[in-house]
Amino acid sequence: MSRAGTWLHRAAGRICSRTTMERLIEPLVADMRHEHVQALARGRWQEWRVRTAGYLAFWTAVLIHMAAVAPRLGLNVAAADGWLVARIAAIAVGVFLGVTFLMTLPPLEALPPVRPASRGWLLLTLVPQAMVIGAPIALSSAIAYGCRGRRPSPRIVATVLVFAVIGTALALTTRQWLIPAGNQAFRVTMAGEDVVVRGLRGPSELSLSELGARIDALRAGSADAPGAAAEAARLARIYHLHWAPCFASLALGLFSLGVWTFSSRRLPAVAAGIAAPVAYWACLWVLDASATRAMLHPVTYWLPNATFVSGGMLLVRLRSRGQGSTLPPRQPCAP
Amino acid sequence: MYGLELVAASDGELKRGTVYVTLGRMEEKGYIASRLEDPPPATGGLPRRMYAVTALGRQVRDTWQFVVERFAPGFSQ
Repeated sequence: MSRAGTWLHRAAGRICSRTTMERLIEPLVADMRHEHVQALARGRWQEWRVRTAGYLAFWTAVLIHMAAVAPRLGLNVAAADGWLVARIAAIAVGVFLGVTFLMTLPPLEALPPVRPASRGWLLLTLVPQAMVIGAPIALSSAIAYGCRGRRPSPRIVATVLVFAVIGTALALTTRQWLIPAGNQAFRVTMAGEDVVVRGLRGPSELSLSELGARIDALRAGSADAPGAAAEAARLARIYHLHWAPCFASLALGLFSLGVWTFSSRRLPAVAAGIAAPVAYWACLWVLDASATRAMLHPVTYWLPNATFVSGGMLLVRLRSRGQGSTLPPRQPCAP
Repeated sequence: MYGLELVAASDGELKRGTVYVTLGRMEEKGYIASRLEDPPPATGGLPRRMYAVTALGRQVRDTWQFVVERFAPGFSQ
């Protein structure tokens, strides 16, 4: 039978500091093992009880310790690289809120008059669509501004990747759940419950998984139903058109890092940080128009992602090999 | 005393999940001192840590008890 807490002790050793191991983890595990050895002689039930109580105590102690050190750890992470993480986060949140707000209001103003009570609700239903566009713009401009003139060290690249993954996860969550729900709520509010039937949702009101299932069903029955293959192809294009922009944060984040580590000037960095997402969406729009007319393969929609990712990685690589930062070195902040 | 001995002796006042965190903080402040016992082979060679109160710890405890005895009845009225 294995000694109690062996795996926990080993795992903690990889994560925790030497002081935490000596003061917290090792006394706890040593006492747990001692109690466990004694319980072994008293039967299986006692052994199980002692082991469970020991594990509970371990996780309780770790949680309490984490709660105590989290503010200091968070501050250290935020203060690293001249408050790079904090600056990117603050700029990204600010731009994201601003862009989302700006992209939600004009469509609302263009709508036919509705009851004042419904306007707030309609505004809310338009927010998810704006979020998918706002996240890459926010991330791109925040990275461009935050990383301007810096040499992309592995730590900076990792920071950018973490932000890009967060932006991508946000976009995927929004696309899968919030946008279909928002679009459906918008239709119901505008047309009325009796006109919009839940079963007759269009591609914009379907989640990615539901859209995929509808395409599979159409393809499976295409031999019997005329026009099913063409409808499946149309939906497949929409499916990829919904999927691909979810990864825009990742593509534009890397691209921004690559391009604007070459410049230390503030205004061009921010302007370019906004221009890159605009170029991205313009590419996607042109591709969509071409794909609809020329029946291009749906994978075409992934071209902007591939272009921006490869361009960004190439530039990061070039900059990593080049000279150091054009900015003076920043002093690390004391925790 | 060991951490688990303190839990057992406290009659439910101390919990096994919090006692080591508390002991660690008290040791940082110098109220207690600890030493490692010889590593017993039966428990995988991990030595247990024994804790003992320091002179400073005793002084702090006495002061705290004095404050509680002196002022706590006034607060409860």
